[in-house]
Amino acid sequence: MSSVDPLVSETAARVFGDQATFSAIEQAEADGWAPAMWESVAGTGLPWVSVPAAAGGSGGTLADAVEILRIAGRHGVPLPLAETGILGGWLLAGAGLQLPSGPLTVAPNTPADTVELRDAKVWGHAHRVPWARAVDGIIVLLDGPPRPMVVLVDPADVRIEHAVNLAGEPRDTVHFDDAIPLALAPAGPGVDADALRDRGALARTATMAGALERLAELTLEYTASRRQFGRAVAEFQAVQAHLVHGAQQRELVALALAAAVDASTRGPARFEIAAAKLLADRAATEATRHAHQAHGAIGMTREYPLHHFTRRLWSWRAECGTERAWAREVGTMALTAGADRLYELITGGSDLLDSLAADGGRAHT
Amino acid sequence: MADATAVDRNALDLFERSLRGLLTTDGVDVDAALAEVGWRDFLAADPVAAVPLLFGVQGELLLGGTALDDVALDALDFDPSRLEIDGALVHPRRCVDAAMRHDRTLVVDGLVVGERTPASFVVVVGSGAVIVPATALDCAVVQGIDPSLELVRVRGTVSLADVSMADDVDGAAVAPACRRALAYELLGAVDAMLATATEYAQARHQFGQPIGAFQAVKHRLADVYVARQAASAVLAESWHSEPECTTLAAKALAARAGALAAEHCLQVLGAIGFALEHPLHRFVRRVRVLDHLYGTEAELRTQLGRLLLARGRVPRPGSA
Amino acid sequence: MRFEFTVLDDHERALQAEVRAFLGDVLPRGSFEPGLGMAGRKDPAFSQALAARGWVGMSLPRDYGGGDRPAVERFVVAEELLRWGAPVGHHWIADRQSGPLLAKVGTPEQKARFLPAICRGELSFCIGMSEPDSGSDLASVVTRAVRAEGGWVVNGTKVWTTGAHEHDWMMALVRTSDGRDRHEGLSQLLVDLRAPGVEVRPIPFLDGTSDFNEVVFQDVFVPDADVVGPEGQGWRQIGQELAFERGGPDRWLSTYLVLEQLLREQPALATDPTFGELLGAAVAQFWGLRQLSLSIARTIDRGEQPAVEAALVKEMATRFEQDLLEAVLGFVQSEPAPGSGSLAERLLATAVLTAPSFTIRGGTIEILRTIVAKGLRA
Repeated sequence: MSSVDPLVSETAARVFGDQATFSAIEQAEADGWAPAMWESVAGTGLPWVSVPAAAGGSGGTLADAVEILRIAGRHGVPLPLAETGILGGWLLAGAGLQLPSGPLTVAPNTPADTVELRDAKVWGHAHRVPWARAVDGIIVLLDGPPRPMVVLVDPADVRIEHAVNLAGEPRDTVHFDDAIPLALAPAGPGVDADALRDRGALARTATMAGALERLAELTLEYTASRRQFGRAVAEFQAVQAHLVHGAQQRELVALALAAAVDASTRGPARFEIAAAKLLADRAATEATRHAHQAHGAIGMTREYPLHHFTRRLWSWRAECGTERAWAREVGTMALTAGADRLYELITGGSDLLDSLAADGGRAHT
Repeated sequence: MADATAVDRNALDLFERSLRGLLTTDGVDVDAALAEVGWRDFLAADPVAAVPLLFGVQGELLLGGTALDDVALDALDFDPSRLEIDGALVHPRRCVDAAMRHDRTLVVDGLVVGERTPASFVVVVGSGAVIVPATALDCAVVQGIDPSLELVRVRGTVSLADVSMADDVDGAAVAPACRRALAYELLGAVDAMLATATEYAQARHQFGQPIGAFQAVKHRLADVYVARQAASAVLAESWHSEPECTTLAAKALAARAGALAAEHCLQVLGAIGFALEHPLHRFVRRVRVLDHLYGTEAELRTQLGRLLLARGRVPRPGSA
Repeated sequence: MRFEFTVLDDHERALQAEVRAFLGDVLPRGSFEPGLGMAGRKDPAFSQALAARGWVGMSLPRDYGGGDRPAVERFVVAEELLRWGAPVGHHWIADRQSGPLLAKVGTPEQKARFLPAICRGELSFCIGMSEPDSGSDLASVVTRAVRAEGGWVVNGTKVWTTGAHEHDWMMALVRTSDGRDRHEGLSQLLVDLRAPGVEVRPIPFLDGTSDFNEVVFQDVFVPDADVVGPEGQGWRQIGQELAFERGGPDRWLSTYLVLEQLLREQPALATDPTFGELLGAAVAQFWGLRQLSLSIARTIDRGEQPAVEAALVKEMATRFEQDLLEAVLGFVQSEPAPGSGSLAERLLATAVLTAPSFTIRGGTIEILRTIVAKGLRA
């Protein structure tokens, strides 16, 4: 099992706690960027954890990086942490490219995207690119014969159209018009569009796990202190049901995330990442309903922090694959295992699928 | 078909009381009791009053009987007894038509309510109806989860040369009318379940108070009531609006209310709700089986969806 | 509240493989009528065959014929038996709670008398807690044991006792004294179901079975030697006992086989994308719930008492069992008939009729939520 460096989690909790205050998050939404917050966070090296030092990263494991993202999610940190490190840094380092020093982003390859390379220059449009307007480098992973290519482009060389997600975080459209890349190289082994999407899903699951924790915490505090009908509203059975259901979703996703990270240390972990993201997406829907219901009207106000987390959960559940899309993926894996190996899939996950593939269906764990 | 004369409130109450009086006797012959109170005339004169009353009572008291046939024949505008035909109506299982035409043959597969041996069967085919001699079809009593309904499955393939056509009938009106009646029956069962659970919640004490004092219990019962009222509202509307869509919606909502009532009332009653010695289980079974006549909830929703898509618009309440 | 991620180690996975091989040999698919999880049939011969492999009484002390094995190992065996639909009815309660209770608070004489027989798969137990007027509020039980020469005389009625008509012993919760508060003065007594004065009356249930019983005690004598744990400590004891039984795989596997068997019998479902979605969502949910359950087993092995965690899991798991069934029914073409030639249909029919009990038995979800909410606010 992978364990996390306690120094990493302590540092993350401290700097995110200090920096991602209520007003700082509000300000970031208004301005579209939080430069001072970025500088403070960047100063700790946290965004580059899991990227090898040789490539310009901070070293550390995938588990460390996921833990940082979870804590970031718990604080509602409005920065492209995943995009800079475990996604962007991973793509660049894998392709043998050096990392720029500032924030990065990665185009998430939405169905509407049309980005392509022509004579080593970039054309087309990429949508929903996180913080494209504020970063030092925009990374695109392109299919290209003979293999996927990692392309790093300077934001100054493209046209950026502002757009946001439900949480007011930038998700810009990037227009490439004969842009000359800063760097261009074949992607590392095992790096393709599916692998990128899986890693993105893992990153989102992590931040969602953190947000689910904060949601449960806020709900517990609020319902314990809010009094109506002569008692704390937490004493009403109906309100207790909301508390319990929020806690259940939090625990389910926390363990699912841990399982996905653990499986990722042994290989691509397709099944575990898909299942974890799917559970996180469902949890986002359920837990946000319960949290809002338990909070009553105050939970819908701007001035109360709940929305910082529920809006992020609503956005993240639809990024890097929706609940239904992942359910179809896991369903396909289940059909591959078949009725006779269905429970083996539940207990063995990717290990089972790998051995089925290796033995042409004759293996069993 | 409805006559211009509506039956007034007092007459209705009187009718209901006589009906309940007759029908709550042990071992009652439901059809005979209905005949005694002049049910068929009432149905012909004022279906808007007759159907909710009878089918509500039928659902509440878990009766058998063949009143559904009367509703179908009334909608069909066909009286087989006038032609000296002793016929039982073959109703569709789920959303599958009870009869399908293939060239010169008719494939029949449906359900008859109330175990009996009629001389012939009346089957709706498209917008018409045919009369099939009973000897041409196989009958098997349905051994499902609610034997008290005395359902019989009727199946067979007959040549069109061996059946007679009923002229001048309105086959398309049968399914909506029967769905509506079944929806009222479902709600009657829901009302009975709700009454049982509510009474239990008041009488059953745990932790020093009636369990109905707990919010969790209150909310379950409230949820059932809300579902029931929603179905009831659409049912009431179905007499005034475009019947095809509204009756699909009404039976689907009534079936949903039935399933919800079974679930919540079983949860409120706890273990005793499962014991045969308590009446709740009979309602649980009844609503499941009623769900299967003329389309399950899921099938009705699909059919309604298709209909709305084909028409390209949603009918407005009150519009014909 | 703590759930920590854990995986099976090599030794535990080897055990898992052994159990799978055993079931494949002794109970190949198609050779027996599977049950729905813990509602599996009573089959003493099978229980004894399992016991011969050391898989009954795994957590009980080796000195008394048990395995002294960790809860996680018991988990591994339990989940394989349940998902296979194996006939575990004879030993399930004894193995899951009565045996461990005796191991924990029983006298050496009681342990010597009962544990070896439990571990051999010979003795079966049922639970006597609920009464006609005491369901969720167990502290209100009125079955009373009055002091007599050498023991106690018991009068009262227990209800909903699964299997009382075919099991050997009942672990009964009775009032032996009156304390300051009503949680004091309750005791657990071992009652021999064949003792004079014990009358067992089956209660027919809507699923066609009569496994649930009313048990009437009329001046039943229970010797001092059959009082389990200190007199008056029954309430605390059952709290621990219930914690064991709530967090396990028996709470989320009741409808598993319905899904697996449907997939087996109707391969054409593979081409239906909405079925694929349901299958994927269900598999992910099983995977997630299993993780929580396994974590509880690990926690028990650390010597902790994860009562709140177990209640949280049971509440979620039993609702999932019901929701899964409803989702699966959407893909079934006709009303499942209990006597059908298709196993999937038979399992579905049984599931439909018994599903409402999942959220009631062993603690209603309403009670469980109260327990969890209290734990969250602690």
